[in-house]
Amino acid sequence: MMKKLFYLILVFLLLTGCDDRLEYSGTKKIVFEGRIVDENNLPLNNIDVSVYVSKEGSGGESSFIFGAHSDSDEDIITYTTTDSNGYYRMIFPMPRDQDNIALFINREVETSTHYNSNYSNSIITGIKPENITDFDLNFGEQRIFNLDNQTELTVTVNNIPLYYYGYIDIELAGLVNDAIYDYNLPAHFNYDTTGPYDDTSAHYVFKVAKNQDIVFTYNNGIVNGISSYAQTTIHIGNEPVNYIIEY
Amino acid sequence: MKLYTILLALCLQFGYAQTTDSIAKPVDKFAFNTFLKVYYTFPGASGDNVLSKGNEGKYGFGFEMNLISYRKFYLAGSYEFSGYDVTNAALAGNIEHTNVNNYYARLLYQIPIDNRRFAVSPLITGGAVMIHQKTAGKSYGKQRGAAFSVGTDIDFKLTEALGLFGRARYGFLYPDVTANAKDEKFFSNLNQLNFSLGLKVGID
Repeated sequence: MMKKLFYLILVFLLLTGCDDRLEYSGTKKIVFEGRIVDENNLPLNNIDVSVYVSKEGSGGESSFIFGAHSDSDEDIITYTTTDSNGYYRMIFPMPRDQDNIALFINREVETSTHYNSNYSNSIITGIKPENITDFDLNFGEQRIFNLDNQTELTVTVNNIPLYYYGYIDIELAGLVNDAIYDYNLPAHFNYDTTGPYDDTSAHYVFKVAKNQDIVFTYNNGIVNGISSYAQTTIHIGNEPVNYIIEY
Repeated sequence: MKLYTILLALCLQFGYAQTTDSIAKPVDKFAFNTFLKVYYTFPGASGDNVLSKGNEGKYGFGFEMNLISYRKFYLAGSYEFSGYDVTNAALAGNIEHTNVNNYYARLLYQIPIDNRRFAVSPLITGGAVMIHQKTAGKSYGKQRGAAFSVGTDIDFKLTEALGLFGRARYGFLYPDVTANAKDEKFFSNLNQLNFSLGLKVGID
């Protein structure tokens, strides 16, 4: 009898203790709003915008962006499309135990109804509840661009110290397709390298809009335990650009 | 299920045990008076609120047990479930269902017509509401609050112990919400418009 009771309690604990599900507050409602414009600052109509929420599983970091673990939980908790003036507004229940909140702009997800493959997409990730004032977060204007107006930017960073293993924190300010911005760390987001690399160099390949100046920021060392950053401006014309930085 | 079966049997017993013209002779005192109404509901909503703008009524059901009467007034305890599907994710979240659970006391004033075969009965209710948003087995939170409603029943007697009825009920729901000031009313002042058809078992 005691043995059966023990197993029953054990099963109950296993079922309840491994709950990695996202939880929401039904009584708190959050607003995300903003405006989407093109490279000429003209409003874009019918562009999909959605809010992604994730909770890490016990397997560690997980997300739609980085690849979810099976024991994680994630939701597209709300979505909408921009109106004729480019504005969007979404309301959703406040998550209570999430690890990440992100805004997807023109990103193809299961809820996409007007995903526009002619335009670039971007993600604003790392949004925290403390960023939301009075239950409202206004992202202002976000620019995406027509992919007919796209070219390629390759950045090679040489002489990276060995302890970086070919990865350094970088950030691009400009019109970039598949861009991922951290809401709270706008200057120091770590992109994956997409080209061949060895331990002392990194290659980054980006799809960017033509005829713009992109500000490229990268981690160029650690001073007194604090990362320092260098910035360079890269001009993009009508042709692909190869840009080399000596660390 | 077992409980409902017992309740139904009790009502039928009360029905057959009483005289046939108890509607016609309202007595000037409180009386223990049980009859059961079970019904199917077509849930709806109106007004500028999330229930109306972000959801669409799908199905519902309810049951209520009348407990006491005084002259032509009848007091019952009721439960009503209204199931809605979310139709606007930007307003109600990317969630499949909004379930509205009403628990209330119902006071009805019965006006017999057509030789007491028909009755028209204005009613008011007061009680609590619990709104639960969910997708399959996953919960997206609950809201609780007060709820009131006004409405009318139309009863048609088939036999002494069995009848049909229809109900129209307009509800005012006030679930707890904390939101941006300009959105708060949109989520906390909801209006429900439900039409129901069902069976009345037992004699009033």
